[in-house]
Amino acid sequence: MHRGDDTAKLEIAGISKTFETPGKPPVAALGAIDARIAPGEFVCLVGPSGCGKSTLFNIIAGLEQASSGAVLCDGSEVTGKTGVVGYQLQKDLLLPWRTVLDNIILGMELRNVPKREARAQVLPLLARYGLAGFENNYPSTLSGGMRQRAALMRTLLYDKDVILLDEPFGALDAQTRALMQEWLLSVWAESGKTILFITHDVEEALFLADRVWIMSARPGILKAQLDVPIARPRTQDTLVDPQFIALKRQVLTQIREESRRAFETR
Amino acid sequence: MPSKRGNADTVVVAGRIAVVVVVFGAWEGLVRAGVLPVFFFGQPSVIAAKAYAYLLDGSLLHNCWVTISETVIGFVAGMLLGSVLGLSMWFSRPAARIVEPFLVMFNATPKIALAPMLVLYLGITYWMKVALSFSVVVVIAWMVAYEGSRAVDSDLVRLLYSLSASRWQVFTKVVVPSCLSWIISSFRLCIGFSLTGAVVGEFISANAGLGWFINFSSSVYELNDVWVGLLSLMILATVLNLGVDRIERRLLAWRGAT
Ligand SMILES: Nc1ncnc2c1ncn2[C@@H]1O[C@H](COP(=O)(O)OP(=O)(O)O)[C@@H](O)[C@H]1O
Ligand SMILES: [Mg+2]
Repeated sequence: MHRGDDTAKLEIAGISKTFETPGKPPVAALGAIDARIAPGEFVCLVGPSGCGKSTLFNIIAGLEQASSGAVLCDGSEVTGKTGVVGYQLQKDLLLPWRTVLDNIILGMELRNVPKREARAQVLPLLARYGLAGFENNYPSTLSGGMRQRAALMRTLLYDKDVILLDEPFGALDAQTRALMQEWLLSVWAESGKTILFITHDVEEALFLADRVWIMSARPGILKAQLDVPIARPRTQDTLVDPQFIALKRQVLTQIREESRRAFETR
Repeated sequence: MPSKRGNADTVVVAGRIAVVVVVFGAWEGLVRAGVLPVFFFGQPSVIAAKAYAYLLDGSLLHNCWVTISETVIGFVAGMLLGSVLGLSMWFSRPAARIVEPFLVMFNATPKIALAPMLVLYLGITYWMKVALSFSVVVVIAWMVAYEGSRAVDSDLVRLLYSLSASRWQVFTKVVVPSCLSWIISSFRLCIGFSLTGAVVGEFISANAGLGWFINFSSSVYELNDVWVGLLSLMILATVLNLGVDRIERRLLAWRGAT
């Protein structure tokens, strides 16, 4: 499986983005970003709000055009292509008129898998996502945690090797969030997928990631990359591990500096 | 709790019956006492007797049926065409912007003003009433579908594109369903307008339908017959509303229990 350390699963080569709106001054959202993710790696992206994290994801997913640079997946260029990665946008974005099950199979449906077949394939997997018995519910009747799991299930079943998750747990309460984090780690461990995860919560980033990328204030560049050499499986005890706390202090210091800069340039 | 609730419901129903009894009782009494001239106001007991007679000879049901069918055909056809036109404007923003002011003008114009022209084209036929009812509904449906298509959550559209959906797939999986909830919500409004179109069409010239019956009875000073027509129209409108309500509730079940 491993093709050596030099084969990145995903490579971001000099990606920058400046938004040009006619009649307004251009907004430099992203500086030049260079980064590589190894296959199966879990990387968290933290940075002050407005530094271009979502913009970077939109570019990787092919929804937004980069001003310069390229995105490579398995060594081949995929800049501007959609459908290469699984992408969960910042909101859970379930279609409100579809049942949970029909939301989950959306990706398959778009690939022209017959609905009936897709449903039959997905139904047995619902239990793993804590959604068994809710397949015929509409999203409006679900809790926030369940909506997120349904959205995650849709993203994962789209079955791309690389998954982008943009603040998926941002709107959840602390307890649900902690459970979801452990659950996500177990799903990730089973799947072997490569995950790039945005969060503004440093503790969440360190708990989940193999590596944390710290972005600077706008225009965002990768200010630092930090390995998280904490053993897995990680549990709630990890949060009070001295090594964890030391890492947290380190990241927080850097983030605070950037947030202050972001605040002052507003 | 349930019994208290049940009691309250009983009181409400009893109150409603009381309102009907008092209004019709007072009306009947005042006419009999000679306070209200029967020539101008009609008389409830006579209205009831006439309604019964028209039910027996089938003329009332025939008139109801004519009006209902004009209304429903105009409504369904107007809804379908209007929705298709409004939805299709999603595909081209420039085309939509070209059409928009004309649509706003059509929408602001009282469609009843088209009636003389429709008589010219279609004669004083059944289809002229259908056309009038249709022309009222089609513009509203068009407008609503267009506004709905502009209000589609752009994040849902992005989501679909991120799953490498085609434009047509975005249209069918996101734009159409999300507009449908707007369109369906306009059903109640539109069925009322559709009925108005049909009845006004019958006023203008017809030989059947409740509008014709009311208009004709009034022209020969048969106030009791006018009331038979009016009360039938009230019932008919209520039934149409309830039907549309049911359809709406079924189709929009996903909005959650409210
Ligand atoms: N379509 C756009 N047009 C102009 N500016 C934009 C657009 N999208 C985002 N921006 C700006 O780019 C910056 C980065 O946005 P975003 O990537 O959403 O930040 P983050 O996700 O890190 O909070 C913000 O300052 C935002 O205002
Ligand atoms: Mg964001």
